[in-house]
Amino acid sequence: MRSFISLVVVVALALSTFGCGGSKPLTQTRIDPMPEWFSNPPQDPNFLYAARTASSRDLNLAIEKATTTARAEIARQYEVKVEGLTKSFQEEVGTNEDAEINQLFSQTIKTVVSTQLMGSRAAKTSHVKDGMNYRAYVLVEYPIGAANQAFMNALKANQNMYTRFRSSESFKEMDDEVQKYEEWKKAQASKMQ
Amino acid sequence: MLATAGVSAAQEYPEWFLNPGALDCRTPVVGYSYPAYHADSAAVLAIRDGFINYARQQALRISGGQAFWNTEIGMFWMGSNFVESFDSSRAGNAENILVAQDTVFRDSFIFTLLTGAGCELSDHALATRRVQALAPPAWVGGTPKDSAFHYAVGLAPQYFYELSSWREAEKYACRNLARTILTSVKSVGKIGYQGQEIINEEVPVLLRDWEVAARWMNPDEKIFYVLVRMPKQQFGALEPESVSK
Repeated sequence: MRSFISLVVVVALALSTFGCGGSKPLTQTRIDPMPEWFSNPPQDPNFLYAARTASSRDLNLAIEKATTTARAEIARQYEVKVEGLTKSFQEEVGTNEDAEINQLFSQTIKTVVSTQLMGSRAAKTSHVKDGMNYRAYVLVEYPIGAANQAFMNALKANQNMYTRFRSSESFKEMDDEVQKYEEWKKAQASKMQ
Repeated sequence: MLATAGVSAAQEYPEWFLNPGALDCRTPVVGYSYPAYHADSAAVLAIRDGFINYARQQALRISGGQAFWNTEIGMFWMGSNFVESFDSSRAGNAENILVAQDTVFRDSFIFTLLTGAGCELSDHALATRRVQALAPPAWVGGTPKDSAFHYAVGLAPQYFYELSSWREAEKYACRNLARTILTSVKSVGKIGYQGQEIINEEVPVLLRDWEVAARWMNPDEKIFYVLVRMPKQQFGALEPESVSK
C-alpha cells in the first residue's frame, strides 16, 4: 500500500513538474497587410480609379465581387442619379408639463447607375487567404480625358465600327465628355496666356 | 513533330507553354487532353483540342452577365448566365493551317503546341522551366498596359486534373478580357437605416484574334494564372446591339 502511495506521489510530482505535453508557443496569426494601392489609390486626371475588396470561399468569386463593385463605383463616379427620400414624423401626446413629444426621422438615399464602361481594366489584383475564405483586393482603372480621347481616336480608325457606334447613345455621352475636356483644355491654355 | 517522351516532373513546363506570346510563330495554340491508354490517342486528342482552341481564338462570343447583392454584412452572388460560343467550323480549317510542334506527356494531362506552318522552335522555346526557380511574372499582380493589346488575367485553383485548372484560368481570362472591352453596369443602391445595393453587369462582346500571351503556376499557393491579349485595333469586337441601348 505504501509503495502504491509513493508511486502516485512520484507520478503527480512528475506531471506537475514537466506538464502533460509541454508548453507550446501559441501559433501567431498571420495578418497580411492590405496592398498599398488599396489604402492609397493612385490619382491621375486621365483615369478614374476604384479599389474594392471582397471575400469568398471561391477565389474567382472573391475577385469577381471585388471587380464588379469597383466597376460599379467607377460608374457611380462617372454618372449617377441620386434620389433622396426624407420622412419625418412628429407628434405631441398629453398636455402642458406632461406632454410627450415623439419624433421619427428617416432618410433614405437611392443611387441609380446605368452606364457602359469601355476600356476599364483590373490594373492591380491581390489576394490573401482569410481563414477558409479568400480575400481579394482589386484596383480598377478607367480612362477619361486624354486617355478617353486616345480610345476615341483608335475607335475612329475602324470606320465600319465607328459608324455603328456613332449612332449609339454611348457615343454621344462620350463625345460630350471629350468636348468638355477639350473646352477645359482651351480654358486652361487661355489662363496660362 | 517533337515529342517530349516520358513523364515530366510536376511544376515543370516548356518555355513555349509559359510564354507562348514570346514565340516568333503565327497563331500559337495549345491543345490539352486527358491521359489515354495509348499515348498516340492522347496526343491526337490534344491536337484536336488545339484545333478547337484555334477556332475559339479566331472569334469567341461572350455574352451574359451576373448580379450581386451588396449588404452591410457582405456581398452575395445572385448568379450568372455567361455563355461562350464560337464557330466550330473553323476547327476544320485549322487542320490545313496548323502544325504540331511539341507534345508533353504528364501523369494527369497531355498538352501540345500547334503553330502556323514555317515556324521552327528554338532551343530556348523548347527548354523546360521549373516554376519554383522563376520569379513570379509582373502580370500576376495586374494586367499590363500596352498600346497594341488589351490584356486580361484569369486564374484558377488546383483541381484533381491540372488540365481543368488551366482551362478554367483561360475561361476567366477571356471573360475578363471581354469585360475590359465593354461592360454594362447597372446598380441601384439604398442608403438609409440599412445600406444595400444590387449590381448587375453584362458583357456582349465578340473577341477576335485573341491569344494566350503567358501562363504561370504559383507553386506555393497552387494557383494557375493565364494572361490573354487581343489586338487593340479589333474594336470591331463590340457587338452592334450592345452599344445601341
